[in-house]
Amino acid sequence: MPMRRWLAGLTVVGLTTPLCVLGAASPVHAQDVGYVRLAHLSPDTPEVDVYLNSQSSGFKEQVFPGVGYGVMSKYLALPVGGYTVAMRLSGAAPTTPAVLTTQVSVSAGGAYTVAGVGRYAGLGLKVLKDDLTLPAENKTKVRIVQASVKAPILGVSVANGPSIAENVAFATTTDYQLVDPGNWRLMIRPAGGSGAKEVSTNLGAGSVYSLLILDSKPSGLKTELRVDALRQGGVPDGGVQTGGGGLENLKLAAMGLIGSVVLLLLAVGVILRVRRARSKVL
Amino acid sequence: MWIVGWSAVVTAVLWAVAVYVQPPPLWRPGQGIPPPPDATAMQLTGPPTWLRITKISVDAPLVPLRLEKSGELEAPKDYDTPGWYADGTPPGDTGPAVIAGHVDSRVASAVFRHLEDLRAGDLIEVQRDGVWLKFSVVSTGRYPKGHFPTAQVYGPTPDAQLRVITCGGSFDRARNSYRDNLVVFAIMKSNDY
Repeated sequence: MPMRRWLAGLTVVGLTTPLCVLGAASPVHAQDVGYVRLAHLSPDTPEVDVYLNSQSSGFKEQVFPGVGYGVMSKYLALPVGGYTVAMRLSGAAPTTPAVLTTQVSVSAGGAYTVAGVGRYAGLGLKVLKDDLTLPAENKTKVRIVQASVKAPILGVSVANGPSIAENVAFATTTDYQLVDPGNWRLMIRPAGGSGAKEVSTNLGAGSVYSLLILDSKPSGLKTELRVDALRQGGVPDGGVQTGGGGLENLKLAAMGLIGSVVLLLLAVGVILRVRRARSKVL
Repeated sequence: MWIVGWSAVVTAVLWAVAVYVQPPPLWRPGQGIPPPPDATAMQLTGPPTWLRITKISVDAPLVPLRLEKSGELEAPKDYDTPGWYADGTPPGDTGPAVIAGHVDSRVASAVFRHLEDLRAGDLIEVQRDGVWLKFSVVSTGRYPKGHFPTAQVYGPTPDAQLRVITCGGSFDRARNSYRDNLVVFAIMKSNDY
């Protein structure tokens, strides 16, 4: 008969203990959205209307009308999944067949530039994968988006400094290059020696840029430094010490209280048993 | 006897739950995030001054935080006052703005006691130059301090984002600090909403 009280007491202790062992560190993705932007990089293609659709239901079609050569939209934050990008000449009815379409598969934290590239005769829709991750050593990442057909091969370097990319062909995009952050004059040098262009840039530490090179009317080159991703200040080392353990102390105090109550119940049970046994004997 | 039997069964079930079932997954968003507003269009130049997270009863001023000599981000001196990394991206500018606050003191809970209750879609508001900027939680994560995901938390972003940090996990008495950091990731949403 005293066994019953013991078992009941153990049960109570057993019930309270599991509440303390839940929880292991569980890292997850930073964001379940990705980023898509659209660009028109074909010098002899007229303005286009761009249609963005999701392959899953519930997404409202987005239309970007009158996108001309050299235009690159801001990034749109989109839920992960598959998307279709279609281009029609500006003003064409949405029911007419698209001039070009392509698919974009957006993954968590991924970034993409969907661009019409090349000359009109050979126009294509390319999906560029943009790498927005933190550059090593808090340097700067820069890549060249070469959309000039009049200067079909060119090199880019820091004025009186290191080269960023050489022999970059029209309708191509280089990999990102690591450069030291700072206020730099960049030299764009078409092959053949003439028509070099200088541009002042402010390259932030830990930030990511695409330098667009475009044909200017009536002649020459135009550049646009696009911010792909930005940050400011030094990179903190590790996390933050933002806790003193008070909640743990409160939890332990609560457990101690429960444990004391259990022991008290057991003690009462034992005493009652002993008294009953004694009274039977008498 | 049947009381004992049922108690044993209940205990066994609870032990099984504790051991085999993962903690509730940290939440993910279920809907699209609209494009953020153009931060420069608002022409905000001052520092953020107030933080409001209604769901977890946070309504407090923000103090500036700087990096310590060790390179670590300092914690706010007051347990009830959160801070923002003042040499980093200010909330509302393109980039990863960082806010940090205490989960508890040595003896009591603190301002970010309930930060772990935030879920995707919850609203975080930061006041700057008299304007309330709205951020929508995208996801949360708990990371061991020894393996802090620096690039994910402090890396550059294409839009205005927020990271709200406090401590979590179990408390290491030998080191007198929590083993993990809890990070809430949020993206600025259009002020039309």
